[in-house]
Formats: sequence, structure tokens, C-alpha cells
Amino acid sequence: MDELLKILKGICPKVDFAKEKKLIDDGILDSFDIISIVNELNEHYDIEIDVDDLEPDNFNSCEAMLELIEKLRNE
Amino acid sequence: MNIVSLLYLAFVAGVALVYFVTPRRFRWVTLLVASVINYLAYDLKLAVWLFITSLSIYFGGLLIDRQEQKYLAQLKTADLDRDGKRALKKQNERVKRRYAALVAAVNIAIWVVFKFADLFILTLNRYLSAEISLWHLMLPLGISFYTLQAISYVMDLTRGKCEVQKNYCKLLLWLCFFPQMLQGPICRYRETAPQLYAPHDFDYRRVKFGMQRMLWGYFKKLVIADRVVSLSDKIFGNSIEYQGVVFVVGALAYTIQIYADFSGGMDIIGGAAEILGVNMPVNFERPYFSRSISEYWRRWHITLGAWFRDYVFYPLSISKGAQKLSAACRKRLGPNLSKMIPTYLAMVLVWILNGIWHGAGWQFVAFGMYQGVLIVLGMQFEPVFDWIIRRLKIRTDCFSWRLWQRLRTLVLIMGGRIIFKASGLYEAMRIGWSILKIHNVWIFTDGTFFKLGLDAWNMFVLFVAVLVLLTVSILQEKGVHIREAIEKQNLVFRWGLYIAAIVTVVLLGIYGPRYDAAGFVYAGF
Amino acid sequence: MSLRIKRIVSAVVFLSLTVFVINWLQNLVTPKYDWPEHNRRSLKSVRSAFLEPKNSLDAIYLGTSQTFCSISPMDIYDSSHIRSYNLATIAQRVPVAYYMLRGILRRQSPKLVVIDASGFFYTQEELMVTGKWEEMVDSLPLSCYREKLDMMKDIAIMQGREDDTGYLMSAIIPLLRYHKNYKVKKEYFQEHYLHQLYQRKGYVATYNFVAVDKTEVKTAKAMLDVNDTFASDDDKIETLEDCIRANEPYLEKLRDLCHAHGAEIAFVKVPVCTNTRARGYWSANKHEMTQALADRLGVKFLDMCYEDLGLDWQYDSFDGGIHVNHRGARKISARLLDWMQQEFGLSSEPNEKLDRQWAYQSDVFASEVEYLDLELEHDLFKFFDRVEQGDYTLFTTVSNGLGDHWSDEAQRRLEALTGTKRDLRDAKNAAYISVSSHGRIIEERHGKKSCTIEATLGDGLRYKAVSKTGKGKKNGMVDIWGVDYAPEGRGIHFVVYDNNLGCVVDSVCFDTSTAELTALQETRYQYVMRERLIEYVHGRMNGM
Repeated sequence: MDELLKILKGICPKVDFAKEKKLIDDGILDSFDIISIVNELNEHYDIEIDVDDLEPDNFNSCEAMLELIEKLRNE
Repeated sequence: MNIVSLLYLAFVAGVALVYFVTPRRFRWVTLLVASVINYLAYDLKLAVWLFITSLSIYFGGLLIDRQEQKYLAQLKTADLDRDGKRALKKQNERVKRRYAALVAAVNIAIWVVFKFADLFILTLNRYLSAEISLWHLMLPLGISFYTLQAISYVMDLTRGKCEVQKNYCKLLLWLCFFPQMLQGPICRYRETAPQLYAPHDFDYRRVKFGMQRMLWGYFKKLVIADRVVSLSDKIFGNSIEYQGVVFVVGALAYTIQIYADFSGGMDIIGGAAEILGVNMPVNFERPYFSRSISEYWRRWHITLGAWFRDYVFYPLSISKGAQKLSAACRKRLGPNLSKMIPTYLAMVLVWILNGIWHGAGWQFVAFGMYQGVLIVLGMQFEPVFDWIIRRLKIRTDCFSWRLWQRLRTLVLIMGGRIIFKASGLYEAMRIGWSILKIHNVWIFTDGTFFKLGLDAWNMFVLFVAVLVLLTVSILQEKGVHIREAIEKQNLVFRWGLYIAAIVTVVLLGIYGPRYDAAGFVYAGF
Repeated sequence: MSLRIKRIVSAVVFLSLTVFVINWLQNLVTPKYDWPEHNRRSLKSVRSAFLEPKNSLDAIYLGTSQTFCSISPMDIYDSSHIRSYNLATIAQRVPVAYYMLRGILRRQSPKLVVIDASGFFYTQEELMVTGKWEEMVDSLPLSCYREKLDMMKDIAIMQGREDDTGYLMSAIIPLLRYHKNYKVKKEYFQEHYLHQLYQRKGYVATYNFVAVDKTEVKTAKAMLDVNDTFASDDDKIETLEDCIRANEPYLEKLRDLCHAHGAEIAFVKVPVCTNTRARGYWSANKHEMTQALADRLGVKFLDMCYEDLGLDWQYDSFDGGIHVNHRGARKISARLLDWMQQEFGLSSEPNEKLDRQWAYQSDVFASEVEYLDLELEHDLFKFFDRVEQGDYTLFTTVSNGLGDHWSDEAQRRLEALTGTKRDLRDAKNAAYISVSSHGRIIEERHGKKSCTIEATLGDGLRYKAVSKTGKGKKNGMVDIWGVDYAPEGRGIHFVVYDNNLGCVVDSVCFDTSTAELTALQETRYQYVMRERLIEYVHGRMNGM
């Protein structure tokens, strides 16, 4: 989790990823942020986040993102 | 059917009446019949294209679903290892995507022909000195909207985000639900379809709220939009005669007009749907309170932006090709910029498409580019701005800063409006130059102000109406639910307010023979 | 009360409240077509016509402003007991007349409908002026909703807005057309002349006369003798033929409508003068085309322009040759009545209730007419006759001296009328004022060059009268409560003040320097007088 938080902070330093639970729904992350995050996560964790995975549920909180990463890793 | 007409009101009332007395099982059929009648009433012959589109997504959906079922069956029966499963999944995706792409291509082709045939012929004529006569095709009602909506269905189906609809009639209903045919919103299947098919009972409160929302929409459309259109049409229509600050007035007028017109239409449509128990997605969220251009496009024509984001921007920016491009640029442009390159390019493409979607002409492309460039610049220069703010010790947590951001955004938006409304690219540039060079503020005091299309009385009415709109918007921005807040007040206040609103629309609305209510800005798309 | 019932009740109440407010607003902004300065009183005749008792009318007249000035149903009634109504309106188009007739025929069953050919020569473009249609749509009562909607549909088709439901609905909800009218002057929305037209039965009586160049006036007989054309080569045959073509279908419909209701239809042309002023209103070409049209439709046509009705265009017309005043109307009505009785055997069935009503209204009309006749009087001695008969206070002034034609007879009559002992034959070049009532002098003054009286009458009436000699146009003044009512011109001036109405009812100058003793009217008093007269008539009609 800490690793993930570090990556996320590197992309959007102004956002408190640990606290926020509605990153997409409340518009805290915009589409560019998402793309940057996706690219970073793809590179770092060697997964392939697909367009199909770009659901608000998967990115609303860091926990959700971690879950997505785990799921994709196991495929 | 013009939504600003007695006929439309009667139609909605009639449909609601029939809907609520129909047995629950068949209520969705009422909506279907009403929607089909509404569509056929527009033009019998052009309706054929809607049916073609609906059939294409119906059969496309069936094909995609069949492929998915085949894949799932194979997954169960065949005994595959991890890599095998991955390969099968990839192949499944490929097949599904091919079906979806085919359906999308067919529908886009239809749309392109309707929208761009004349432009194409004109270009041919000019460059090949040909003399082909223009086709002057009339567009099927709402083609720009329902085409996108249809494509979203097959795409969502492909991504597993929605269920296949095996009942053609139900699918048709979703595609041609009558409130959304004129100006959208562009709905997603999983959002509106379940609501359309589920029977809704007559709920006093919901119906009341729906009617109130329609009334608010009529206020915006008839009292504000159709009034201020005289200003913007006159100024931009006779732009040769004007200069300087007049164009600022014109841009402001057009800015107000297009918002009041479009969001008013949305309210009428949304209110009508609400009466019938269907909640349409929000299309506007007080866009002029945005503090940046990016935010603006998340608040203006939300469903269109979301469509481009989900079906063009995301797929492009995280595709394999994008990653390859990014890698290729790393050497030249460094890691940070190279990561953003595919994003920027995808965004530019989205903006060009957005522009083209609005109109067939270079100025629309320019309009799209204008927006895109502003966003890119905003993003790239963000660290620079931050640095300036830090050095000058500007406070960013206060009202004045946020106001500055809003005003700055509004000015940029008005610039975009000028590009959109002017009669051509060259004209837009001339207007922009005129604003910068000529500062004829005296037009406000020497009486010219009241000759720009609205006399003093109408200016006054407009001013008060816009003030009302602004107040309501501010309240909404602060989270106040207007209809519910009113509900809590006393009877006399409530009824007085409703009657005052009705009287305002009837008395101060611009309609009737001596004016010609301006055609909807987004109709004919 | 259960929640459901409560909600239904509150919805109904809310709806009623809204409808009530909208209706009130509608009354506020819909013009009443009653703008005195625009002389649109005539549309009130349409509203009044629908208040006539059902099936009480024997004849109906349609036509334009010339028609409503020329035909007086009350005069016709007085001579023959035939009850009729004058439904002519300003610049009435034939299609509009058709729909109006359709509306009125729901309540009435006349035996004869007479339409004046003045309205046959509107061009297709002029027919389509929507304002003329809309004013009729708004003047018809709600019970004629079918006519309103049909008219609105016709206009919508002409304008190419057939699918504008709001426009069509504005037939019944004029608010949809006039909702922007709150900016218009408030005078447009007040009702001025309330029951003025009941007793006149749609006839618009006028009471002025203006100078006419007598040399231009040819008598009808003279014209027929010399086979002279009425007017100009101004009217082109093609244009006239186009007009007839545009109007003929509706005239056919009118004819069929009348026959369907068991009524006869006839064409008529009320007289216009042959002078320059009236040029273009009628011509030999128009006469021929109308006659041909009448023959085609199988309708009888009376062209009064070629008849000798004894009209004196100097004194029988208020605008110098186009429209007649009450004196002219009498003559025309008489001729029309003759024709209707002879050609169509028109007669009336006695009906006790109706006859009583009409007799009363005739009485009221007669009392009105007394005033009109006084105003229209241009003969000095007949003027004296009339003043003697009424309860008046007379202000007599001499302006620029009497001149040479003050006769013995005139002197004698003046002495009898005012009770003066002064011989005005001495006043050929002198000034003179007298105020008298009922044959007795109240005040009198004379002077060589000028004289003035400034006094108050017994009932508080403050006045100032001045008489001067000289050469100017106006050298007499009769100022009553700050308004000068004296006429212009040389000779003897009379300002007649009615003691009952409490206002001036006539102001006339007889030019005693000429043998004809030409009369010249001053009309400033008419505004106040009309108001008083209406109140008076209104009071009497309410007593009915």
C-alpha cells in the first residue's frame, strides 16, 4: 500500500490519497490524472489496465486501486 | 415537435395520463408508442434511419452476446492453463471488438454522410471545378445524439458493462425515448434502460417536481434565451457595423443565450422524463462557475464530454499504440513530457472530433482546437503558475482568488463563443482583433446600448431574469436543492411563487407571431 | 380528509387560481379596439350586435366605413318598423365579413343581408393583412369559437404557420398574441364608449361638415346623362380584375351561407362624391365589374352613386366627399329602405316585446339626434328654430363686423331668440356680445372696435367673451372654464351651451358678409360633449 501511495503522490502531490474515498465521484482526479496513474501503474506493476477497467469503482480510493492491481496480477 | 409549444405540453400530459392508467406490465410499451409517434411525426421518411441504427445495434448486440456466451462456455469446458486462458480472453475481446467496430463504423458512416455530404461536394466543386449540385440533405431528428448513444451500447456491451437486450422493442425504446431526441442527453444503457422498462406509479411529489422543473426550463428558454438572442443575432449578424466593446456585449449575450437555451431545454426534457419516472443524466452543472477550462468541460454538455472521454480519449491514451509512442518520444523529449504526449494527442483528437460534431466547417475545428490548446497549455504551465503564485504570495484559499479563476475562465469561454458564433474563421479573428484594439466604452452611455437588438425595457427584464438565474445557480452550487427548499415553505409563498413563475413565462416569454422564437441552438445536430 | 383527496382538492384550487390570474392578465393586455383617437369605435358594433335578442333582426348590413356612416338602422326602423343592424366595420375585408356573418347567423335569422361593394376591391395582399383578421377574432364572443378558430387557421395558412399550435390557440386565448402589450399605452385598454352603439345599431353618426369645392361635384344624373366616368384612369383593369378574383370566392361563400339560412343577399354601393378627394373610391370600371360579379352570382345590385338622392356634399359629408354625416345618412337610409321594400318585399313581423324595446331605443336615439341635428344645422333660420326649442344658454358674438348681409328677417329672429333690443344692422363694423337664455338677455355689450364680458352665470359657470373688429381670422372669443369655444371666421358666432348636459353642444359661425350665409363649424367642444352625451344615453339605456 505504501508503495502505491508513493506512486500516486508522485503524480498528484496535492491529493490526500489515504483519506479520500471518492476520488472519481467527487471529481478530485480528472481524466488526465487517471491516464497518468494508469500508465504509471501499468509500468510499475507490469499489468495491463484496460479501458474496461476504467470504472469509478476501481479508482475511487487507494484500496480500490490496490484491489484492481491484485486482480490483474493474478490473471 | 418543438418542445416550446402548447402541442408538446399537451403531448407530455397525454402520454403521462395514458402511462399511469396502463397496466404496469405494459407501461414501457406506452413510452415506446409515444416515442415512435413523436419520431414519425417529425418526418416519416427520415425515420427509416433511426430504425436502421436500432436494428444495427440490436443485431450487433446479439452477435456480441453470442460470442461472449461461446467464450464463457469454452472457458468452462476446455481445460486451459493461465496463458491459454489469457489467449482465449484476448481472442474473445478481439472478436467482440470487431463486431462493435463494424456497427460503429456503419452508424458513423451514415452520420458522416448526412452531416458532411454538402461540405464534401462544395470542396470537390471548388478544387476540381466540378459543378455537382448540393444534396441539401435534411438530417434525421437527433442523429448526432442517437448515433453516439447507439455506439455506446455496443461498446458497453463489449466491455461487459451492460447486459444485452434481446427484446428489439425495448432496445428501440431506449434509443428513441422521446424527450431526448431533440437535444440529448446522450444516455448510457445501464443508466436509463432499467428506468424505462420498470413501471412507475403516479407519485405526487415526483410529478410535481417534474412539472416545476419544466417550468424552470421554460423560464430559461422563453424569458432569457429567446430574449437575448436578439442581441447576439444582431451583433454577430451585422458584425460589419460594430466594433470593440459591442462584441464583448455580443459574446456575453451569446454565452448567456446558449446556456439558457440548452440548459433550459434540458430542464424541460428532464422534467418531462421525471414525470414519467425516468431520471435523465445531468447535462449541465452550472458550467460558468468553473475555475478552469478543464473543469468547464466537466460541467458543460456533460454527457457529450463523458462519451468522448470513455470511447475516444481513454481507449486511445492507454492503448498499446500510445505506449509505443510514449516510449519512442522518451529519448527526444525526456520522460515527463513523453508520458504526456499520447495523452495530449488523444485530447487534441477528441477536441477536433468535438468541434466537428458541432458543425461542418473549419471554424468548428478551430473551436475545438482552441479548447484543446487551452487545456494543454493550462496543464503544461501549471507548475509555472504555481511558482508565480508562491513568489507573489497570492492567497488561493479565498473567495477573491476563486472569483478571479472564474472570471478568467469565463473570458476564455467567451473567446470560444466568438469563434463558434462568428460567420467564419476570418470573421472571428477580425472580431477578436477589434475587441483588443477598440475600446468604445461610450456605447453604454450614449444610447447605443439600447439599439443593439433590445430596448431598455427588454434589457431590464433580461437583467432581472439573469439575476434570478444567477441566484438560483449560486444556491445550487452551495448544495441547496431548490425544489425541496421551496417545498418546505408556507402554502401562500409556494403558490405565489408558482403562479408568479407561470405569469412571468406567459407574459414575459418571447413567443407568438410577432417574434419568431429562435430555433434551438442544438437542434438540427 | 385523506391525503389523496386533499391533494386533488389543492391541485384543482391551484389550477383555478392560475386560470383566474391568466384570465385577468388577458383582459388587461388584449386591446379593446376602442381607441378614440383612432376612431375604432366601430368594432364595438360587433360586440353589441351579439347582445341583440335572438332572431330579432330582419336585415343585416355589411361593409366598410362608408357603409357604417351611411346606413342608420334606427332611421329605417322609425319609417318602417323593420329591425336591422349595421355590422360594417372599418376597412372590412370580405372574408372577415363572411366569418362574422357566420357567427351572427347563429343567433339571428334575417331575411336580407346587404353588403356594400366598397369592400370588394381589396387586393390579395390587402386581404391578408393579419391585423384586420385578428381584430375580428378578438371581437367575436367566445360562443363563436368555431369562427375564431377558422379565421385563425386561414391567417396561419396565409402566413405559412399552420403548425404553430400556439398561434392557432390564440384565437381563443388572445393572451398568446398580446402578452407583450403591457408596454402599450394604457388608453388602449380602457373601454371608452360603453353602450354607445346599442341604440344606434352599429351606425356611426357623425356631425361635422367641411368645405367642398362645388365645382368638382357632378350630380349623378349629370354623370349618367353624359356617360361620364366617376373617376380616374387611376384604376387599372387588371388590378381590379385581380381584386374581384380574390374576393369572389368569399362572396360566393357569403351568398351560399345566406341562402342556407333562408336569407336573401344583395349588393349595394353607398354614394361617394365625384370630387378629387373621393377619387378612387368608386369608378365606372368598378361599377361594371361589380355589376358583372352580381350577375354571375345571381345577386341584385343597387349602385347609389348613380342615383340622385339629393345629397349636398357641402353639408352632408364630414370629410369632404367620402363619408356622409347624419344628414346624408338619412337620405341614403331612406333610399335603401325603399329599395329593400320594393325589390325584396322586406317587412317586419310585429313582436310586442321587441317593438317595445326598439321603440324605447328609438326614443333615446331621437334625443341624441336632436343634438346631432343642431350641430349639423347650416341654415341660419333653421338654426334659430332649433335653439329656440331647447334648454340652452346662447353666447352670441360678432367677429370682424357683421358685413352687409344681416337681413331684417335675421334681426327679427335674433330679437325673438335672445330678447335683445339692439339693432345689429348698426353693427356692420362694430363689436357685439350677448349672453341669453330662453329668450331673455342675461348680459349684453357692444362697442365700436371691441367689447368684453367676463362674468359668472347663475349656476356658477365662469366665462369670458370677447368681440373685436378687424381683419384677422379669429376675432371673437368665448372662453368657458378656460377653453375657447368660439369658431373662426367673419360674421355672427353662436356658441350654444346646454344647461342640462352642462357643456357646449354647438359652435358655429355664419358668414354674414356673403349672401349665402355660409356656415362654418368649430369642433373643439365635441370631445367633452360626446362624453356627456354618452353618460346621458348610458343612463337612459340602463333604465330600459
